Amino acid sequence: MPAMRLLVARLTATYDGRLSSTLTSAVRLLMVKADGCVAIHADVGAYKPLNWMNAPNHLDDQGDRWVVTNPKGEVLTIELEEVFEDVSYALDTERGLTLDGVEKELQALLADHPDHLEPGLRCVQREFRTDLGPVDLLCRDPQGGAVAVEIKRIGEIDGVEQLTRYLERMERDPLLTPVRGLFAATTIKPQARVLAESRGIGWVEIDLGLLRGEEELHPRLF
Amino acid sequence: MKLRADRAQFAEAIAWATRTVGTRVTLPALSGVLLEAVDGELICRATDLEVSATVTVPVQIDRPGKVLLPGRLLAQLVARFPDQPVEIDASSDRVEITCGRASFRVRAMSAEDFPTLATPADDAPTGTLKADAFARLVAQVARAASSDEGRPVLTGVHLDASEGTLTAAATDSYRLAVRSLAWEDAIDGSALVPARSLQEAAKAASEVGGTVQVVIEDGQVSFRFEGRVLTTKLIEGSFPNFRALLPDAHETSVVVNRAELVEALQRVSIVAMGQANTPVTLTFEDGQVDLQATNQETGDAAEALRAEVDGPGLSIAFNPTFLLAGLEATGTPSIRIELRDGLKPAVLRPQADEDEVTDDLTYLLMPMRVS
Repeated sequence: MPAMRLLVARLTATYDGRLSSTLTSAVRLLMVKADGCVAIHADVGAYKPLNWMNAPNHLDDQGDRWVVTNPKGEVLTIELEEVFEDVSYALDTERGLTLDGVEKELQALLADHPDHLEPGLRCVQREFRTDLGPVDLLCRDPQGGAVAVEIKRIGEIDGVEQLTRYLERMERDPLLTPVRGLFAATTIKPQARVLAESRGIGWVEIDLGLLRGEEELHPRLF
Repeated sequence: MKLRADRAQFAEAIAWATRTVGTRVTLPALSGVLLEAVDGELICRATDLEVSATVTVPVQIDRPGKVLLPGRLLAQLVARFPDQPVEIDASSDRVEITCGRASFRVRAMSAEDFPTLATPADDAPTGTLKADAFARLVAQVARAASSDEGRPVLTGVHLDASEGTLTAAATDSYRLAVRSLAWEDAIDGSALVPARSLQEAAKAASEVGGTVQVVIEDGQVSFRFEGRVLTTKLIEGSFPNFRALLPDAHETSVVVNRAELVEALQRVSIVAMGQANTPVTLTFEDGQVDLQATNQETGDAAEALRAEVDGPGLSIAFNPTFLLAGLEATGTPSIRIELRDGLKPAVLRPQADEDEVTDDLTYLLMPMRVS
């Protein structure tokens, strides 16, 4: 079972690749993730390591000297002067980031349960890229027609305008056209409903509680 | 460059190349299809740097050369051309495309900006499968992959080649489809292939027929057909240990006519579909299965079917869409459903008599809770 290995150690490191860099001797956190990523962290900064090597790579553990190489020929050499902690834990299979905010939660839940938007709807892609930015969901209806879905917490005129712009770009794509628009929010303001309807865009109010309950109703394999 | 091509062949080539590559364009040159006329053949190339597609069609060449044309525009044009030969004359940067009495002048893009395509190494180990068997395997498995880009590893199909067998697996965490297939010429290796790319490769397999050559390399996989090559980058990350999810025992085993179950399920689901993800409950008893759905808004539906039930009777509820996908994937006249209890995953398999050969398919489906 692959595991995450954490070392707290006094170490030096040199990186040789597109540029060269050196870390002088200090106590740092050295992390080897189950997928092979190697990262050296200091006790400052939130998420960014001082130095790291993404997978795929090859880690040659020579005891107090680690040589990590990747297919591009970049080399990270770590000299372990003194190891204070060395622990390994197998973490759970990562289910991905739970993005904060109601909009992101709505997007994730509606991608899993597109039936809440419209019966028979199937989600093809989240964050479908257009030239003007990503539209929240690209779906197909039971007839195979493309449906672009823009999701907001509160549905206002701005959101309808945004979806209109995406639709205009998506209509130019011969693989998608014709594209229907669907505006979804927990609450949709009357003006936004009128504007959406005048532009042939559908709208739907989502019951977030019901949608969250769906997750409980439908357990996962892992 | 000046050439004359058969419209149907040309249209099919351009459609496949542009569709395979998709719409994620990060550089202007990537929205183009590179046409190269050489040695009696037109080579059409397209890429979005993730997926690369190459199609070769026989043409009559007056003057060899190459030109980069806007892909979507070209695909739209040739799809609507009358059924007459297509002529392309790229004497200037306004490329003349003629078909019957229709003629177009399209501005060429800079061919120098088009990247060199990823291709399999000549000496890389190559596996061979029958194209129709490959297309069928993809159709059965890829449907279980997720469309959620937030969990990239689940948007792929895991291919594992070992001991003369190719095993394909896909899961969206609610269901898992696994199928094995014997190679004609075997290789070893594994790859996590984007489901969309694999489905385009399967489409090419159906259209072209014959055999498909599979080349698994570090970071990419290629599928070679007669006149077509698709190379796609692999998805990084670890695919879930799907073998650990497969139950090793069951309490109840049911054999039921697949077409009858599909039809009954579709009828009952009409009531269920009215409300988001309403489950359909299947109750297995002596000699029959009862299907039942309740929708607070529309009403109830129920139907009973004959079934061979071996083991204790039980009730289990499923998302009807996922169950239908599993029933469609199995393909045999009868199917076997293996169950433990109403809250543990069910297994669907093709059912065949002992002397019949069926696909080695396992479709694992998580039940829904019924409130």
